[in-house]
Amino acid sequence: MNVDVIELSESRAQFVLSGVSSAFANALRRSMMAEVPSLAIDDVNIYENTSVLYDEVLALRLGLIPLRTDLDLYVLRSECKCEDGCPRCQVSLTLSVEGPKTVYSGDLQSSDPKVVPTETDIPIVKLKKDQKLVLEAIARLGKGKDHAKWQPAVACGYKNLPKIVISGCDRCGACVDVCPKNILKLNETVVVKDEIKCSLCHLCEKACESGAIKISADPASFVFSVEADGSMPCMEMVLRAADEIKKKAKALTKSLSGVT
Amino acid sequence: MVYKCTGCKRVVEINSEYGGVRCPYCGHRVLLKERGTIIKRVKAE
Amino acid sequence: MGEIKILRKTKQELELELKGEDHTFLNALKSALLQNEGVKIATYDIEYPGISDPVLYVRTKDTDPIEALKDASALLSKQCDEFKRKFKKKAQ
Repeated sequence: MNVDVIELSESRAQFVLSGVSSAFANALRRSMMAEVPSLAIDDVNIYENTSVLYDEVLALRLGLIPLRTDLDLYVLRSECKCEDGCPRCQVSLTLSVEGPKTVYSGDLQSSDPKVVPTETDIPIVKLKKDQKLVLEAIARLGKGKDHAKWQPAVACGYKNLPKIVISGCDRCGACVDVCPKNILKLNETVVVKDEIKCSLCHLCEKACESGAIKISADPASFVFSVEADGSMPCMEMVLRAADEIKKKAKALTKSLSGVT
Repeated sequence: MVYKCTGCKRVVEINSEYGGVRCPYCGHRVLLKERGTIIKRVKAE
Repeated sequence: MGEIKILRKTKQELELELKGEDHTFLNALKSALLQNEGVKIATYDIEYPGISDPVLYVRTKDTDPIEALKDASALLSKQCDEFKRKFKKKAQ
């Protein structure tokens, strides 16, 4: 197994994972999307709502706001010892506004200063004069497989590592013009600028009359592109995804130990 | 049950002896049901 | 998670249900099982997607399928550790 990190920031990551089965790569991808928990508003207690939106629509919009999540501080409700909600498994956010005003995610007042909306300028509803909104939102940890609001990865995918082989090029330049990613350049022969950007569309192969360019994909190398919603740093999300798979493997080993 | 007349904005009671729905103050026929005082819990999904 | 139900077990065959799991774990587990020379068949089925729990079927040449399964799951957690270690190292 080999890992090469190409890009890594708070919200984006790109890395090449090679020497693993496609099953493992896919498990990692699925784990990021559906198994890594994150915080999202789950229940909304509405005290007053004279806005133009129905309570349910408002609650849905609140639910989809990404919240900054520290997974060391919170546990899933199903794994919490309490019966109906405690500071270990839920956070309360309050919203109390009066029009005329556009209500933004930044108007939510959290009971835990660490758990705040990742973006403060997500519009929730526009209020006219005399319209009022008073509510308490309960945020909980959850998994992406239960609802998309708990998905820490907004985009996560991989492709096989492209391999471009050029031999016997006659410098016609047809492949350079046709490449949608502009990764080919005409020097002495055609050279590849950024192999990893190739989308494996094979257009250059079709344009090349002499058959000098060959595109293939390495079946054991995967170029991952990961984008996080900001609830946790990209790096933590990727590592937690591996943790979740490991947790499952460990749990299976444990329950198999009693079987003969 | 309390209603609000959309014509004169006054709070009115509906008189069941009178067959139709009508505001006793201004005669307006459109009455709105006000939101209750209970706290409503909705699921964010 | 981790709860299993053995549906059938012979010397070379094993059929078990893994509660609460899905393709995420099962496909990786299946592939890890197939990397073992002693495993003849490893496959799984989710009868009603989204409702049923997956049923894993393992047939070995002559080893105990439970042992093969333990090895596969150990391989998976080893792979996860390796990935984490290498990712952390390269991220610096």
